[in-house]
Amino acid sequence: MGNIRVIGPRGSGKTTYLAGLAYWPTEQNQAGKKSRFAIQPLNQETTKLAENAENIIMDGKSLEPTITHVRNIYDLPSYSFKIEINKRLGEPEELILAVRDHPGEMFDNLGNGIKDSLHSEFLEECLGGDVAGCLVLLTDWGSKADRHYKRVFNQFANLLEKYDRTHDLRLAITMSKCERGEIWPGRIDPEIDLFNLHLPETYRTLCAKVPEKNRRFFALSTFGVLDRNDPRPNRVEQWGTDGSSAVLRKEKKWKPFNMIEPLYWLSTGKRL
Amino acid sequence: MNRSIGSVPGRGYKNCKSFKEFSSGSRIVMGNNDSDNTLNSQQSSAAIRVVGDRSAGKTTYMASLARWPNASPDSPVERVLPIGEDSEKLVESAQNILEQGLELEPTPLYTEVTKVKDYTLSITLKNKFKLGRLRFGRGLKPMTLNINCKDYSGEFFSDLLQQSMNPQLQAYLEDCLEASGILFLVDGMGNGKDREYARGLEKFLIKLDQVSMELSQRRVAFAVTKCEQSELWVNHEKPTFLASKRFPQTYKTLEAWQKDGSGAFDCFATSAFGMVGTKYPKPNAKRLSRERGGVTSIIEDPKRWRPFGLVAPIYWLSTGKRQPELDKV
Repeated sequence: MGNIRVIGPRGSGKTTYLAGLAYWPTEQNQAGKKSRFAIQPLNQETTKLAENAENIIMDGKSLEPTITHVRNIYDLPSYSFKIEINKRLGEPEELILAVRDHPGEMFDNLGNGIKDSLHSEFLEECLGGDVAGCLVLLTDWGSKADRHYKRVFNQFANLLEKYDRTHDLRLAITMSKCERGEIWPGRIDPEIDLFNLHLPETYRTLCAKVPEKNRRFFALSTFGVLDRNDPRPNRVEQWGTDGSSAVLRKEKKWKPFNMIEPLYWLSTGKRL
Repeated sequence: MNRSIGSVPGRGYKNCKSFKEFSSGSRIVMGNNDSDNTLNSQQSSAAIRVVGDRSAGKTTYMASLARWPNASPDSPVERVLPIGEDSEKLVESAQNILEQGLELEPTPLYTEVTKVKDYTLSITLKNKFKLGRLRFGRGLKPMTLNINCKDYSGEFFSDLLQQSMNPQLQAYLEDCLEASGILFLVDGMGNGKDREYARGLEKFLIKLDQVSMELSQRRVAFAVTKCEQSELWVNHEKPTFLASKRFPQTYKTLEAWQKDGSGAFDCFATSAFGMVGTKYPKPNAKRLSRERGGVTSIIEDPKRWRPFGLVAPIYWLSTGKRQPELDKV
């Protein structure tokens, strides 16, 4: 149970991630194996997202950036899911989450030093007292991205302090789209092999400014890879009239990686 | 609109022999409203008034409570009885408007004092519930709670801050001063107005404190409405967390008031529309709009309309005790 915010730079796959959750294949098995998780949309907005998800993930209907239909914080979609986790032993565990999807501009502006009233409303919305945690999806690595993310987290840490949330807001810092070949092996220990290695300044900033119990590093992939022994991304770029977008390559092989784990930790403080 | 309400099965409405006596402007009913059932019953002596911002959902709260649709057989509430003409009309509105999936008209702004709607409801709790939980060995006496809500048609909090001389506000406040319990409703999705509510409430509490209660202390129930909304639903089992985190300034104001020894407050999570489904509970609400002041919605599936948490604050205001059964969805 809890409120979660999804934040991150533009194009980091926030909406696609949520679409993947909404469209979670409950009846059919994931890549031939029964998933440990079952997900049910719990409100109208989520049901609508699940309907669109088919177009987004299967047909590659290109997603407009969230900012184009969000003019203020009241326009932000508010999704809700029930996640059932089947355990090897004992009763299945249940989570009910309310999740809001923030436009990437909010995150990027924080690093660029842009401040306006709308921008601070979005931030305030992320830091409200009843928000259990933020899922931060990142997409780039390398020194340029590292500097940008570092600046963002510096600012973010100041805001946590200002809103008195430093000690009770969890941050799941997550590398998104980890089906990409360069970072796929790093998914196993993302803290060391992705963040410490590829985003060292960002990593040090987070370690210095966010209490250990409130930060965790994750890697996830909405599309996943083709197979255990064929780790090519299960995703192809499709070119349409308005640029490229990612589509699932083999529908039957769809096996998202690590999508629930960060949410579980944000909501409970425990590792799944 | 004709009075077709009396035909609603199971409401016990027609049995109310003497309700006509109360049909014009009576503020609170202290007893004898239903001779068959209250002869041996304990009437709570609390006088309760409802306050809240314009869109907090006061009328919908009262209408939903008055209609008490699809009550669970396990509910400790036996029935809810509307007292007086305005209250009967309220049940009609619940039936003819809410139940058709339509939106209640906003109460017109600043009607004349004499035309202000005055809703009174009498809530009877079951014997079993009372026997098992409350009054051991005192026999089968049902308990009746009464609540009265004057439909203040202005912007309560901003008027308190800016138009304190407004005659309608004065009359309304005067009426509130008689109450021992205040049901303070806020739209849970209107947390952007926390600071305004805190300032308005502070002023209101000062006014209340100027008139001291003779025997008992005042109670304020801080009830978050519209808890069917996903963001509120996830915390509906933790009403104090919900209220204090979404409305930190308002909460602090109440804490300070309580600390001063002026009275007691507690927090509640309520929904006039409720949820649909138990395994996968979805809000039984279709959203029309969302803005800073909160959300407006209509009932999505009127056939399965079942509000939750509406009686819990009234029970607490009347008895000072919290009854967990009444917090259940």
